Amino acid sequence: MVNLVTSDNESFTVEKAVASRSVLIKNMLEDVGESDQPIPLPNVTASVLKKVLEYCDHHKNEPMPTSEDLAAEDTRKRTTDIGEWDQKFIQVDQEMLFEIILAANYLDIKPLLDVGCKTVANMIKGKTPEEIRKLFNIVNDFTPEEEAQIKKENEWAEDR
Amino acid sequence: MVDSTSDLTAKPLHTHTNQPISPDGATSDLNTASFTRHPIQHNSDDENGFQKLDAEYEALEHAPDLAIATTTTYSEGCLSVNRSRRNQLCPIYRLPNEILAFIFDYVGCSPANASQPFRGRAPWNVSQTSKLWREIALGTAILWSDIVLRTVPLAQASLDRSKGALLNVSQPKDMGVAPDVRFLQILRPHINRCNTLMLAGLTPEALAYLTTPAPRLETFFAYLDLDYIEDVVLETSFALPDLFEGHTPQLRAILLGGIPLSLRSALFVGLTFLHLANIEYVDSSVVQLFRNLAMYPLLEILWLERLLFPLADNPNISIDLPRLQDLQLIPIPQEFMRSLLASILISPLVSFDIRMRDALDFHLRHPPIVYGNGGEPP
Repeated sequence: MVNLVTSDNESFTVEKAVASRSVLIKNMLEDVGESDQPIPLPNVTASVLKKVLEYCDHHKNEPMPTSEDLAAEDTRKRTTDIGEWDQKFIQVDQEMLFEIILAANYLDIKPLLDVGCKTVANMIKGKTPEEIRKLFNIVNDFTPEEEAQIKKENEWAEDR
Repeated sequence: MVDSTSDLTAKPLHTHTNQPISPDGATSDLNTASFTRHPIQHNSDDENGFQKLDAEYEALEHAPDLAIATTTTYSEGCLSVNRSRRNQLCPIYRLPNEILAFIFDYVGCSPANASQPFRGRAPWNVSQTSKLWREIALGTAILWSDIVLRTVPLAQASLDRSKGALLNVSQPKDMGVAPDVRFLQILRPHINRCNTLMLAGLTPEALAYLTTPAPRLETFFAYLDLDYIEDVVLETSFALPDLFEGHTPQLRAILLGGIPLSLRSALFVGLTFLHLANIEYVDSSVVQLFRNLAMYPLLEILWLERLLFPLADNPNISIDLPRLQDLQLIPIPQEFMRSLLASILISPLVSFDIRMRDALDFHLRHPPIVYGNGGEPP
């Protein structure tokens, strides 16, 4: 078993197979060898780690992505399809979604990072800039000069 | 009594610098003869003085406008900074730029993206959302590397923004018109970084722009603009340029519709996908095609559609295609089909979709298909 300590000082004891879904933790475990020492995770809060561990537990028996898998993704023949369980898992509010993405990035859990990024991408797909702003509570911060350039781009779309 | 008028006519008025006053204006009805006799003199100091004061007047006249413009620019800049600072508080702004770039890439990777209205199409939509997102989008070359030839300025902007990234260039399916030669003109300097080129409705003239080496090209689909789907283009009907100077070492998939490229071309090497359509070969023989096929052990898809060859002996070449999954022979002459089916050796996993003009007596006309390992058909 592995003991993980979050930034808000909460402790989680999980199976090694679950914790090792994180490449960061897996490498740490390999570096320190067999040890009861808790592993501090200063960039992850308890509520987020709980969700991340739920994901890791569900996928603990799946093969880890190989470097070949990662290279194949670079061919840009990727899709934003998300598995059924993952879709339900990632149905959280925006704040939690972004925290999961940040945690997956920090803990180096590529499949979880992908699920998070695909979810955000699917939220953005097909939306106009105004709709995207509304969705994420972003405001238009362009200067008039930048607005003029954007207007020109929109005119290019009509050009023949 | 002193006649002031006569005095004035006798001695032209002088300014305090002792220079005559111009006859224009208030003094214009005076005896002009005297002015004619004594032409007005201006020295350069005076000229400079006028110009300086006029310039000063003009500057003062526009000063309020300038002040307003300066204040407006300043306040707009402040507003923009204020809005940017507000955006920094949004949860999505917590994501690092490289993750946002990764997300933007996913937004654009869906096939449906190309058919979105412009304002909803990636990466344009994300690049017009906010200052930071625009900065990220414009700084991520790969986002701009899938280029759909819709309008010349959009294609040009994408080519510029994609910097050195590998390009996937295509025409939208809904366009249905020949690509403007201007597209190929602007594309020509970038052929060396094209990974995919899918062009429909080409003219023989347009093909002349595809003559520079394409060392990274893996997929090349090109259709000539034909009037009817059943039209075939004679191999000798026009002088085809040396496509890509024959330099396409990574080319694996070719579709040529109505483009009678000689089957001896260096492009026909190491293919996994071959689709030839609407061509009547004159110089290239069916034997050459069979030789080519015999050199494609990794060929997975072979579609031959409306192909005509000069009469020739049976090629009698064994073509071992263990990876072949999909064979489509859409109507081609009986003799050609017969000798092809007699020559190819396939795996039992092959999926056949054979179309012919007269399918009723297929089994009577054609020899049994040979399966590579002596196995059963799928």
